[in-house]
Amino acid sequence: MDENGAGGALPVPVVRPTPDLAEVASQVVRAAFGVTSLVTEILLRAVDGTREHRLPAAADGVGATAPVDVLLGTAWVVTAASGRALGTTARAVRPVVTLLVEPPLVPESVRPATLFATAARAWRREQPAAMGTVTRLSSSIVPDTTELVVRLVDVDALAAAVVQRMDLTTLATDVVEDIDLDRVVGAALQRIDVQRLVEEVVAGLDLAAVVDRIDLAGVVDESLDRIDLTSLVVKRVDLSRVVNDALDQLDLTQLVMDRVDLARVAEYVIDEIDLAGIIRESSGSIATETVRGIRRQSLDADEAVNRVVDRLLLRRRARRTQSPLPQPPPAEPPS
Amino acid sequence: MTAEPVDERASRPRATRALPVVVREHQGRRAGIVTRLLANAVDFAIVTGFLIGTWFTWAALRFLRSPTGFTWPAPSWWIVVVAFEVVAFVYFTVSWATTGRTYGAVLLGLRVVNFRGRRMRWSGAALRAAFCVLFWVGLFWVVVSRSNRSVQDVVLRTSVVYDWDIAAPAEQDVTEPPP
Repeated sequence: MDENGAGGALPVPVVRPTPDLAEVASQVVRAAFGVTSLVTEILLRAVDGTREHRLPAAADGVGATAPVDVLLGTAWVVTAASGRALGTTARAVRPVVTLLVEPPLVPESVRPATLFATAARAWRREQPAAMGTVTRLSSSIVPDTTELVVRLVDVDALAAAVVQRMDLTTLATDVVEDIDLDRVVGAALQRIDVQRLVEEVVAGLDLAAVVDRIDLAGVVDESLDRIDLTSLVVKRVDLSRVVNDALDQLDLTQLVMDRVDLARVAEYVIDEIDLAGIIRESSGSIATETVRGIRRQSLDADEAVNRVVDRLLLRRRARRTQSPLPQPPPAEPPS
Repeated sequence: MTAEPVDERASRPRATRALPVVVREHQGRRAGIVTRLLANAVDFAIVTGFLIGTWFTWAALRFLRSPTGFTWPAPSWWIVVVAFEVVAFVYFTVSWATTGRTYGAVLLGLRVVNFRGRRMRWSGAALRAAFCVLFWVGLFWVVVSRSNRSVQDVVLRTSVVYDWDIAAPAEQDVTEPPP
């Protein structure tokens, strides 16, 4: 394993400032007392659910009179005194220890200090591997531990307490603002087989029950009010195909014969159209056309006879056939 | 004698505007021999039919009076001719004095007018009818006349003109001359 760790292992800094041992010891002791106090508090609350929460003791200003507090306070005072005594002793002993670790007139390679430094370097070489092992162990332990914690802790109550303490609306708003929803949804849609999802949902649904709960008539009415159904149908539907298919499937003649009172229709039509009048008019028109044809042909024959006779009589001028009758207006030139 | 009757239809080219242009140009002009002969043939048939009908009626009356001794009436030839001419005279006179048209003229689209272009008076109509009945050959002068007049027309200053004033003119029959 390299020095920076790999695979999510803890980063291990190579160069660290040398801590002041006395300060470190003080902090460790303080932390140990804090942990002890916390554990004691939790245990006591577990045993006695009515006990008040007293952790911020300095804030409420109430004197610590409980036996546990007495015990812990005494231990704290003793430890502090011991620490001070230890510090004093250390300062007094340091020259002696220095002399022992780096004795004069002893080759440097065999001095205890050199041996200690060698040991420290060896450890530093092994440290990343050791911590990597811890990381691996922790990653295998965490699920079990989590399971254990979940089993021990009343997760529901915890979640309820958390939810009670949090302004979920603000949190959700902030989260939504921070999230690139388009990207999230896009990625989600890429990974989700929407069709299969919908099929599963639909398969799991009691559609009949859902439909029972819906005011279908209202929904349809509302939809139809919003949609211009006519233009939609005209635009999207191949009407000629629909009509043709429908007509192909229908025996229209039989349908009409079955459903329509043809005799009544015929009577109605004959009453409405004045058939007698039409026959009269059409025959009159035929007669008129016949008469007109005869007149036209006889007129042409007149002209032909006139031309022949005039030619035989060697006439050069056309006949003057104008009568005293008012002549019809000449044909208007086409506009 | 009343004032000369005015033929209001002569100055009212009601249907002529709907006629084909070629035909329209001939309206009011004197008619040729073919049309006039055809009209006379129709009139001849009418008069003949009237005489035949009269003959049948006469025969029926004879049968009713004496069924046992019934024989078909057999008038002499000259009686038939005279009867024909009388009937024709009456028929022509009444037709020309009232409408200016016999039935044959109606069919062929003709009209008889006087020298003013108006309907003839009764006297004129009777005179022309007699002239036509007695001297029907005069009609054929139309063939050689420069103005399509028969002898009767020349003498009596009348005119037989095209006048297709028939009902139900069809608009689609109007054909304009090509531009």
